[in-house]
Amino acid sequence: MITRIAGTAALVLALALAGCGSDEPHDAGSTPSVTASADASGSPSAESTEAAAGVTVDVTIADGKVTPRGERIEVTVGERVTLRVTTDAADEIHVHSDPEHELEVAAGDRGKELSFALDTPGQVAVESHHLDATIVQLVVRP
Amino acid sequence: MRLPSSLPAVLLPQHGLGGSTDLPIPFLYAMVGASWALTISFAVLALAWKEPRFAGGPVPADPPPRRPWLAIVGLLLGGWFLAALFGGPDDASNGGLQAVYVFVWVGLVPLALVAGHVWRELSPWRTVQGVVGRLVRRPEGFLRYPERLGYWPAAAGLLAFVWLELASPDPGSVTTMCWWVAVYAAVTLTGGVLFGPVWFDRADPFDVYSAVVARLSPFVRDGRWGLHNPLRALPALPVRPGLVAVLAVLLGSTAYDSFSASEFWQSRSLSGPIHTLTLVGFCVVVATLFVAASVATGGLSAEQRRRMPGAMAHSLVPIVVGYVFAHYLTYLLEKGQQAFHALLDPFGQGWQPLGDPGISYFLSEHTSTLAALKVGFVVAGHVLAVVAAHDKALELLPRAHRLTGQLAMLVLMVAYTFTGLFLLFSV
Repeated sequence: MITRIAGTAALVLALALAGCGSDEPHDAGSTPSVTASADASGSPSAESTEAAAGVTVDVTIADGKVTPRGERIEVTVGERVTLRVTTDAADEIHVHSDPEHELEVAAGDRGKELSFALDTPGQVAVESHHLDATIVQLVVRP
Repeated sequence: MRLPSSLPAVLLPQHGLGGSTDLPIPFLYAMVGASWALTISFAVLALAWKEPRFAGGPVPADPPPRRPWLAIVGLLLGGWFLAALFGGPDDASNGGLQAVYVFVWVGLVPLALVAGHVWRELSPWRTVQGVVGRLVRRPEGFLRYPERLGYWPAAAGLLAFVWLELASPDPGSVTTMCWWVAVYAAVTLTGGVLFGPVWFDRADPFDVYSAVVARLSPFVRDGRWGLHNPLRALPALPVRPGLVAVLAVLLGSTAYDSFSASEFWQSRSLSGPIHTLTLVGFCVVVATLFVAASVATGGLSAEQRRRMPGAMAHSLVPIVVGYVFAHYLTYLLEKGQQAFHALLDPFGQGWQPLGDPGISYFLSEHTSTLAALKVGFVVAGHVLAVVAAHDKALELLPRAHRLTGQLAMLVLMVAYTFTGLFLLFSV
């Protein structure tokens, strides 16, 4: 459990740093989230791996708390976003996009996944329905 | 009326309705907006006219009688919204729920800007009161409205609505909205029958909101069409107790809405009462700072000083309207399309009289245009506010204090605008 949380924290940190780096040149061609999305391998060709790899967010629900909590994650329009949920309690994960996406998880689920892509720029909250908490806020840039 | 137990698991939206929210505006846009606001503010103080120009404008005339066809339109729309709310599906797809959040709450502002206080003529509550008043032969009600109440009931009603939208446990619940609307309708109709039409002018939150925004309409004045300078009509906003509270609730709650979506706030697990207290705190801070800034001048008697906050309150209206537009524009246009299609299918039967409801996300997709529009609204509202405050200060302040007496208000308005831009940039 600790390693998983640490892994999540490291991923989140990487994403946060990537997010910070993107603040200055908003219109630059490089998409920083690509580096963040390549959490497994150092992807050489960014453009082609973007759609394939996408962004994976590890979500852990334990002892009535969810991690991450309220983090910003930068994604691009059309990029594949995967939520990978490990939980010790039943819950519903809601993705407040138009249209909405939903994932029901049961106690003891490990690595249950929901995958989707977002088509409109904006910010989309991913929430735990039972804990009434924002897990991540996806910042969807064109 | 539904019982809470019959509520199935619904998608829990964040702010009234679910769905995505705007991207933060780029840093450069916020900086440019802030620089413009700051420069224009001090340019107005230093260079603009030194004698009041908008004082003693035409005395506000009584509006013409309500037009029957608008009353009928209002009854039909109100009936449609209520039928959809109470008879529609029990989840976020409910057309009545969306109509209240999008058309009533946000749509009211552009409607009042373009067509003036047409809400007065549409209001089904006024129509019902008119009919009941005629039937019981008491068109002006049974009691005199207590003058010292002023706009306070409207401020309380507005706070109740923003609480429902922003701080209540489940803003997207149809049941909660049914209860809110039922209580609002009961209070409004009872007040209307007891006190007569003056109740709607002072105590109906939506009616008062519309009347306040309508003062800024360049097209309609006192219910009559005619192009005019809204800065001349704005100072005629009737000053009554609670006016500052009404404006503070509108501005404070919109700022809270942005703030509560910030990472800082979302990363904490907070109880419901904390949300409510913070929302109220935002409104109280906005009001307190405004009152403090409006009396921060020398050369006034105690009685004059007591009147200052009310006399300056109209200058807050453009800031409120500018920020509401910046905050809610995509919501109005994009959720508005959804709400329109949901209303065409009020009972969740799958009706699509206009075909497949494809929704255009034009504004969201053009992120630079959207950011420029948002900054533009905030800065335009700020400039109008500063000019209105400057002119009123020239009228009210003794000659020796005309420049220094305006400073606190000017600094406060710059602070409001910087905060607004900062929230648009950071959340």
